[in-house]
Amino acid sequence: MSAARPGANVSRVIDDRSVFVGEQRNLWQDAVRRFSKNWLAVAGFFVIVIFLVLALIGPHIAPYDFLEQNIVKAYQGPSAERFLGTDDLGRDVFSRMLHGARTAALVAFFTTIISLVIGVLVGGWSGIQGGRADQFLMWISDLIQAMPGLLLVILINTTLRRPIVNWFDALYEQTRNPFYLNTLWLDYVLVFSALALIGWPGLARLIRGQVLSISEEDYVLAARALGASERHIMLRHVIPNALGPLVVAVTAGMGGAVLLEASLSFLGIGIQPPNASWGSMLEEGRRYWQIFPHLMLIPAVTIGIVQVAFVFLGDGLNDALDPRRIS
Amino acid sequence: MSKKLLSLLIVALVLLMSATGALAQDEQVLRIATGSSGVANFSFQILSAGGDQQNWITFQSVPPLYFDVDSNLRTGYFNGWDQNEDSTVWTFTVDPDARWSDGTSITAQQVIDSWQVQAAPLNSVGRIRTYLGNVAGFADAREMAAEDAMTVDVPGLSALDDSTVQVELVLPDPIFFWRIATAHMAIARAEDVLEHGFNEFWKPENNPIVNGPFILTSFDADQQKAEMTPNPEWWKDGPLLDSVSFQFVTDQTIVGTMALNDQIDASLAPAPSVLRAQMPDYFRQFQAIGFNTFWMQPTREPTSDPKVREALIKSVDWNAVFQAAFPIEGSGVMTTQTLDDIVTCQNPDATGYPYDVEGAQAALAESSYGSAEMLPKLRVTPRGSNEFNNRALQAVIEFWRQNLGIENVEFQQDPNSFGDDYDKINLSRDDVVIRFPDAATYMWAAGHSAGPVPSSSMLNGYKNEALEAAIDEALTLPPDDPRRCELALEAQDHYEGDYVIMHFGKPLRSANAREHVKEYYSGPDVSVIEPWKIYIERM
Amino acid sequence: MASFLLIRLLRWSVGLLLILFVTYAMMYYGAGDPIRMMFIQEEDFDTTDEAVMRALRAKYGLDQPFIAQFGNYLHKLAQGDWGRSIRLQVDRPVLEIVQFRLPISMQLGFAATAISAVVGIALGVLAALYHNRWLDRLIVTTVLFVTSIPVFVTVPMLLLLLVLILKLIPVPYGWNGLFHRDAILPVAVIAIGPLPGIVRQTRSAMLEVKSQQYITTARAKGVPESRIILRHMLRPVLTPVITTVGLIMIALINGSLFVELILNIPGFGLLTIEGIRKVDYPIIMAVAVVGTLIIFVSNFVVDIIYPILDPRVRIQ
Repeated sequence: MSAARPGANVSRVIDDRSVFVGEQRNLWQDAVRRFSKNWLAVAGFFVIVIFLVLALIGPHIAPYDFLEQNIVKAYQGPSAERFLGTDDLGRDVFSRMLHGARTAALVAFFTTIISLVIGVLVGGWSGIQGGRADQFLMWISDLIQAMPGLLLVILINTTLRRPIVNWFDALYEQTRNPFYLNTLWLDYVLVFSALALIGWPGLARLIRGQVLSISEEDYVLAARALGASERHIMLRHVIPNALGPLVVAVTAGMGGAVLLEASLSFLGIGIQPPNASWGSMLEEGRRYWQIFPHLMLIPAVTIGIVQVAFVFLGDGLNDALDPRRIS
Repeated sequence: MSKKLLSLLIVALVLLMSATGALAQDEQVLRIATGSSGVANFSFQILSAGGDQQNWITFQSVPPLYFDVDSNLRTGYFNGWDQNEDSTVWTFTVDPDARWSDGTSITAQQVIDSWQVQAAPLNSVGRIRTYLGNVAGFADAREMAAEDAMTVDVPGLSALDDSTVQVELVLPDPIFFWRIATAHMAIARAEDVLEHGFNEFWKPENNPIVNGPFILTSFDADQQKAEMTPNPEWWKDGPLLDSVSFQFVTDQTIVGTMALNDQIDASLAPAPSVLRAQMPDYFRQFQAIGFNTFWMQPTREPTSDPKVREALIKSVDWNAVFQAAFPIEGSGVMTTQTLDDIVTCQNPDATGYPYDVEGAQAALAESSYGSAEMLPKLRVTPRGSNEFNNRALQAVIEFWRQNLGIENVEFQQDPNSFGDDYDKINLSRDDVVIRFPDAATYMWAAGHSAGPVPSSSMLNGYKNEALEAAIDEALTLPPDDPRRCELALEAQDHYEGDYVIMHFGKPLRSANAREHVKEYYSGPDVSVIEPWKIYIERM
Repeated sequence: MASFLLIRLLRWSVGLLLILFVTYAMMYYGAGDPIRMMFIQEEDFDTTDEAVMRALRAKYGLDQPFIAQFGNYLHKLAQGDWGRSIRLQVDRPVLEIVQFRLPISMQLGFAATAISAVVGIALGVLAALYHNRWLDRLIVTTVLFVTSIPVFVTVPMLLLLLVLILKLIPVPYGWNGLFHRDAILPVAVIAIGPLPGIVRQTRSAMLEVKSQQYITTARAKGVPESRIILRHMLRPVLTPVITTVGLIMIALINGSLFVELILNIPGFGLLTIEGIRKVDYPIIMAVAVVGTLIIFVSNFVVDIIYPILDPRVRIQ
């Protein structure tokens, strides 16, 4: 554990350009080296990779059609033929889990990306601009954070659903593209936007704080005194230094979004059956769990593992990317 | 260090539990978990004729007449009735024994006053139209009522003397006495309602005067707990229970755990059906009207096209849907016709809709849309999280997808989620609101444009002239006239020919009570039958 | 100072107004008319009975256009009238409901935060002391995994274990006070939620402190290990952790929706979900007002206290 050594930073800045070019290779190489030493983070990384691969190709390798019902074979436990058994309508749980992985991945990434984009724009703008714009933007994000989160999510879900549904219907009328018929996409869009809307203020605050504190750092002041451009300072100093905390926030947010989607399913407003999401499978499985525990345990444990993996991955990346720890 | 602390904590916890857990059980106490869903209300309103509270009306208030568990008609606060030649004027006599909890007798005028309170639009007793809609002046009284009127004056209701109620009807109704044989027509004192308000008068702090076997002695809206104790002035047998306690539990897994752990004796929300093996007594069954069907809306695209409806029905294997809905042996009975198996007559030859994939595909091709791709979106809802209906509807959607290639379906458990598109829902679920076992009235409720189902958004706009002619005639015939039955069956044929109803099965009514609760049944109007006979007997 | 506070106050008041407006607009244009919803949701209503709908709309002032309704609401709110519940507890003053429900959630929130803080700090310290050994990893992983499972799964599982298998407690249901055994399970389950945050923060702060020179010095001087941990390490660790705990407390007193929903604890979280499910305007508005006020007031207090506590923070 080496604490920050400001002296090193200042000396680094003196001959800014040349040092940085040499530094850049080190930064990433070091990062990879440090990351690979942290076995928890590596394990998390692999879990996430598997999760993403399954989300991408899962629906194509699924042994059964995830919607196909076989009522005679309902409630079966895991077997050779049915890897994870069947659910209350005789649908293949493994195939549904694979489809659910796609749902979970989409929820995790889109929610986080939307809130990240808004957060970076608002937070960055606030931090750089300062003054009235900063005050106003932070006031807005405070207001959103002040409202009870789930109240907001549920309100957004009930409020936005109709306009979006009707918009999709209109698009279908115009284009006859079956894509617009799929209610699954509708549920996605709603869940994304609702979750992103409560997610961005936290990220905006974080980014603004990073921008402000890094701008006050000696090496940035020095670079500015040496006549470096704002854009240069942004790209070379602020962003690399702010990356660590941001990565942690983003990975934690991804895991959190998966969990929140499950919670929405519990309230009956998430992704609707017969479409498959881990949350809705969990909620449906809850009815039968005393007799057929696998219907609830499979999605519950999967959600748990993916979330833990996200957190470990974030921690590992944070440690690896922390520029203070460059040796 | 922390290990020691942990073990100490556990020991302390165990001691605390065992000390409090050893409380003695009182023998004649009935503990009920009420609350059917997330939108249920915790209330013990007597006059609202709906909501969860309709299950418990009979504890506090006796119906005018009622059907017992074997569908026999029994007397409540009325003990006699008569009708004129053409069944347009009915008289009912109030039981001379019937009295209020303050010891005074029930008078004919009090009965009318209470009915008129229910008739006031402000009090939102939606079902009252089914019972009194045919009474002279009823419709006008409601239409003309001031927006803040707590009661209305229905000219067709009059008290001939202290114990005789006369009802004049607009159209002949030979079964009017069946019509009012429900706890929904239970009465309260109109002056109490006017003094304390419709939503307040029944609360213990207003000392409500009731005429049932029990009195609500405590009601805590915040804790969602309530208790009833016997009415000392009760004028029939019993009651046998010393007290009835209620608490509000909506989560079914919690209901199941509490029942297994002997914390409740009976519940409104059923425990998950998978617990059947662990407590078969709780799920013991009795015969009851339990209709439960899907309807397709005949005035909204695309189900406005009869060929589409035909395709949607014929493409589904209804045996398989029944299997999906009721996988556990004995949890449901298959239905093959609109008429319920406990109404006065059924078509003995009905086999249900055929599973005819080719016919369905042909019907879809003949429809104005021509193919599944051109079909506008179908909006469907099982209205709530009931496990049977959810599975059934998901199975139906899958048949559409497999056999017709229809993928454009929006499924919402909660019809609320349709928001403003509520008026576009194509398929929804409910029961036929009628609470007495008459086939003709059942068909009236299901298919007559004045009946409750076509009056609701589920089927509004539905009209079949031939069906209405048959029902209109049937309703004027005496209940024992075989022609009444024939006409009801004729109406059923017209109804099913329109492909608006999807019947697959109904859940068998389970007692939802542990074995030690004796004589606990609910009637066709879902209220508990004769709660004064209920007693606790542990083996 | 006074003018600073005044500006703050003004800013929050405008914010509150804006939130109220947005909430009301969302309900009015999105969720729809509560009377219609009542007819939809309660199966025994007759949806074409216009007379009933008209009478009820007039009773609650829902027959007016949006701006008039919102204006009326604000006008009444300014006079201390929070309105009456439309469906949740029909015609009961909303203020009465809030006054009962909020303290329950607050008690649960305080108790859970306290437990979470004690357990979390203890586990965090333990993990840091055994840094990178199996106990450290076990603590961090277990805590994370447990919190990753949704509450609506944890609660039934715990009930199966505690009620039906171990027969330790009956199913806790409703609210019988914080010191009743029925409060044990909900408090415990709520306390699990913020645990990873506290554990992680304590752990990393502790690791930072561990390598400080004065610790090495103290150790070299022969100060007993337990004394080093309690005296020299814990104190600097606690300062940032306490701030986090404060934030968690603020989040929790607004109610823990899922625990309250499953165990039917009549708290503020349950009120929120019930109000939304029943589209009960006055309830939803009250939830928005109270929920927002709690955050505003705590922010305000922090704004006042911070400069007093930390002289480095100056008021601009």
